[in-house]
Amino acid sequence: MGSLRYHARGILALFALLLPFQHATAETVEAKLPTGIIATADFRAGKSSRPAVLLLHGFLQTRNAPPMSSLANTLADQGYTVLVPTLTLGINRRSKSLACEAVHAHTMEGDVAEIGFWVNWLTNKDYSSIALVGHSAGSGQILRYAIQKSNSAVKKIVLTSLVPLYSKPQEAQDAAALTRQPGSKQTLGRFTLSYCNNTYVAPPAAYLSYVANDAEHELSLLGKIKVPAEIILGSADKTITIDWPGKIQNRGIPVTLIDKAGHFFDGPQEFDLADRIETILKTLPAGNK
Amino acid sequence: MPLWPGLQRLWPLTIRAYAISFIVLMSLIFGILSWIVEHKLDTISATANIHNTNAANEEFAYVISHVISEIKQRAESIASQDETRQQLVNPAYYGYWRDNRVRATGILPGYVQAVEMYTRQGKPLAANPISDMPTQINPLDISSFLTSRRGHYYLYVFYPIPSIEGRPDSPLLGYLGFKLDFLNAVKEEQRFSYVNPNSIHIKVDEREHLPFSQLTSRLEFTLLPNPESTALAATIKQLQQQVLPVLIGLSLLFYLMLASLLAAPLRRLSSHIDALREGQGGLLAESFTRSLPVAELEKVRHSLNDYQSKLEQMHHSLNEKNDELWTLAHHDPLTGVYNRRGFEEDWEHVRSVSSGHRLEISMLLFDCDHFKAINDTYGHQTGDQVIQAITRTLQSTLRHGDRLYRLGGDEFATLFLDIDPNLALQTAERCIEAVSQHDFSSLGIREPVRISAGLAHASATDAETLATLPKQADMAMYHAKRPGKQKIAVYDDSMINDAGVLFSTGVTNAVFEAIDTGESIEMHYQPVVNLANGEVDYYEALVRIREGYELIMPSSIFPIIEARRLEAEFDLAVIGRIEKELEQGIIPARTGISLNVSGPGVTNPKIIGKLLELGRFLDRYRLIIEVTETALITQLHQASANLNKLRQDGFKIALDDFGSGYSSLGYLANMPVDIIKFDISMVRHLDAGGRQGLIVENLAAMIIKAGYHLVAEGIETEKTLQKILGNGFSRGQGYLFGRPENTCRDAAKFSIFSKTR
Repeated sequence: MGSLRYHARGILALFALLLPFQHATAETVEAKLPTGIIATADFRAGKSSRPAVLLLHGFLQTRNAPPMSSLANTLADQGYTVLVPTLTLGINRRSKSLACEAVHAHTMEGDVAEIGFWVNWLTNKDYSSIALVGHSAGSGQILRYAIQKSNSAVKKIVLTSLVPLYSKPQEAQDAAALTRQPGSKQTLGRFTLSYCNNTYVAPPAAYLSYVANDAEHELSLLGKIKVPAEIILGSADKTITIDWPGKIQNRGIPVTLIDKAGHFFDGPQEFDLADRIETILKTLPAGNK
Repeated sequence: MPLWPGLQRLWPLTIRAYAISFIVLMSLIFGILSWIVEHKLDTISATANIHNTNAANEEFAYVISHVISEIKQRAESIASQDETRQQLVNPAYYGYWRDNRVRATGILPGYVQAVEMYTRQGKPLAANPISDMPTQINPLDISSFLTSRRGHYYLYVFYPIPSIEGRPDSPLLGYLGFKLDFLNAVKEEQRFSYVNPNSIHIKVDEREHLPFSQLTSRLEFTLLPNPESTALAATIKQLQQQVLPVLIGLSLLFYLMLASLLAAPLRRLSSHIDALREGQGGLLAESFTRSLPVAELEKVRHSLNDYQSKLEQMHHSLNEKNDELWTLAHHDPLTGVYNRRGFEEDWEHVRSVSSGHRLEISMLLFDCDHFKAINDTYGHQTGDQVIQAITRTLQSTLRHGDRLYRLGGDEFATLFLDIDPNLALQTAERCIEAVSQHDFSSLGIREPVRISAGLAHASATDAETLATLPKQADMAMYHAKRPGKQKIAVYDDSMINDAGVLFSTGVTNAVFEAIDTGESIEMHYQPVVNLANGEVDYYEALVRIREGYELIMPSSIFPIIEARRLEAEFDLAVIGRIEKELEQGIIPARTGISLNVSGPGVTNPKIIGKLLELGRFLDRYRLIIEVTETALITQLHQASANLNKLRQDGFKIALDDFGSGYSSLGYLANMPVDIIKFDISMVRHLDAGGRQGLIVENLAAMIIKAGYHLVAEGIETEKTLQKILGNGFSRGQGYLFGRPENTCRDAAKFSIFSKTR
């Protein structure tokens, strides 16, 4: 059974190679957010029999970052409607990953709002069956979207490489202290966030919006999810602890652990990820009404 | 030949001068060539400079366009960044971006001094733009411009940021502005090949915004040294510097070579020749032996040595000839004794070596009495034999070592050094005695042959006396030869009075001047009266020499004339004077002139010729030539021929002073004379009577009978005149008739004569 799966995956890969341009018909769509910022996303309409999928990139990345970019292509090729937005992070038509040293005035709330904007954008296009797939920090943002308010069209959330954003408690305390000072909105601080080791420049409040505190908080959020969710983790992901998949499962959320996959599911594990997501998507109803 | 006179004193030049001239010429040529090369280099450099200037302008234009292009490329890169664009949307943290983020990208080069962003309206995002960035830009003209601040040049460049990345046609979002350190920018962006970046200067005032398009017009810079030209110039310079010492070295070598190979050997040769020349007769003992380094000079040396050798041989030969000649020149060929030249040289030598020494010097002169008469009577050959006999006699009588000199004719001399005057006198006496004892009859001579001697002494310390010793000896000898004197006379000062005239420089000078010009000669005329009528028959012309107010008389004139052998010259002068006076008509008509002609004059063709010229006056005057019997006897044959020629032309010949000498009747018969003038001594004998008077009377009668006209001289009294008239004399002369005067007295004035009649 397993060998058959790999055989089929190989054929799929070959097909993908032979038809490389099928997914190149993506349309970049721009949309003005309520904040006035123009957000962009790649949109490829799929078969109506298939659900729409919103893929969200990781921390400070764009929609072109792996594994979501390749996953988007795979899914689009499979006939899924795919919307891959790039979080603006406060930048018009942002097209490149943002450096740690850049001013990060964006907030978690803003990001979650943008997810909501794009979900609404899909529903406005009459997509009634939507799956939200996030990677890393994107998974955390989708998690928060799924908790805060939900759109009925969202039938499933898939959180890959879900991991709490790393921060230093002391810095968070200092930032919190700064926010209490007058004029702190214009004040910039240099913090540690995720892989930005003491290089994350941001107003303290904006910084604090991403500081999710700790793993327990994240796990607690998982318990508050209102739509069906599934977690996909890589067995070789060094950003997570060994017990992290178990802790998630303990919250009642199914976890798929892809063997030998790293944080970005690069290499052959990329196909495993795609297979798994496709499997999940197949369980969803048709996307278009 | 020198080109101008100034060089004449330097001409000819020495080898060293030529060498130095050559070196100077070479240096000049080297200098000119160097100058030409420098000039060519300058020309090349100037051409290259023009080319390089153009290239530099192009290079600079390229550089600044490159700088602009570069900065715009970088601006585009910055503009494409999300963060950049974010500032225009949300400039809340613009300051952080401008001061940190834009630099952190690493896109901007170091020469970008400042970055500023502007809105679409040209307003800066920052309230206070940094670093002199404009507070407002014109969206319609965002061209670059240049300013100057504190000696630095800053270029401002602006770049529009489109709203959509990669879509310049999309609406503008804003502008990026850059401030560049211009000079650093051009230096960093371009490695200059022509422009010297450190020399770039732009004429732009502080705060002036110089449009970029005008930048090149305000640009000033210098060129980088052209490496090829510099290398070429350096190579040529190096070559010159290398050639110069070589040239100097070669010149020095050339100079030393000329000096040592030519100049020095030539100098040595010249010195050798100089030494030969300065030797003046005495040749160098050594020839030029040192060999010379140049073949030609060596040949000259050999030639010189050969020449010297030949010269030496010639010199020896000449010495021998000189000795022979000296002997010939200093010895008398007839007698073999020293001649006058030998005497004079010895005398000079004696004077020079004895001067200042206490040395007694005696000079002895001999003279044969009446030698001319002997010579003429017995012939020259006999005369010569007499001289030889006298010589042998004197030589045998003189001491061994005494030199005998034949001064001329019958005159001999000898010198005695450092002997007692008495011994000298005795020697002289022995000589006279020996000659008188010599038997000359073997030569056919019947008369006794005698010699007279004059002796003079002097001490060598008495230079003045020594100088006059020959004169003293001469005076002594004249003294000895006087009739009735001893045959030997020793000079004493009393003799100087007798010979004063003879040795008077003043009289001598007057005589010489008279001979030369004839002007000082003054003729005095004494009448010779025709005793038949008392009329002046003719005048005897008697010579005087006028010296200022004084007259020099014949007694002073003729000793000098005879001593100097100037008889012929003096005769000519006198004849010339008489000729003039004849021409001037001073002599009364129908009278005549008698002229005294000396012995040598009678035989002198020139004088005879002159006398014959006087023949043109014979139609107006009687012309009588008076000669002495001594003059006639000396060269009787020639004299007779000349006198006969005169007689044939109409002259009459008078024998003067008859009776004062030998008065040989044998001679008289052969003499071509018409008139006999009895000497005053004869007239006095006649006047005195007695035997001598009788002889004279008979002699006069005999002469008259032989057909001669007889003239009596010295008639001073009427008694004498009576005597003369009684003895048949046809002419008379004497003070009774008139003294010699410078005018011719008229005959009518002789009243005394009329009384005697």
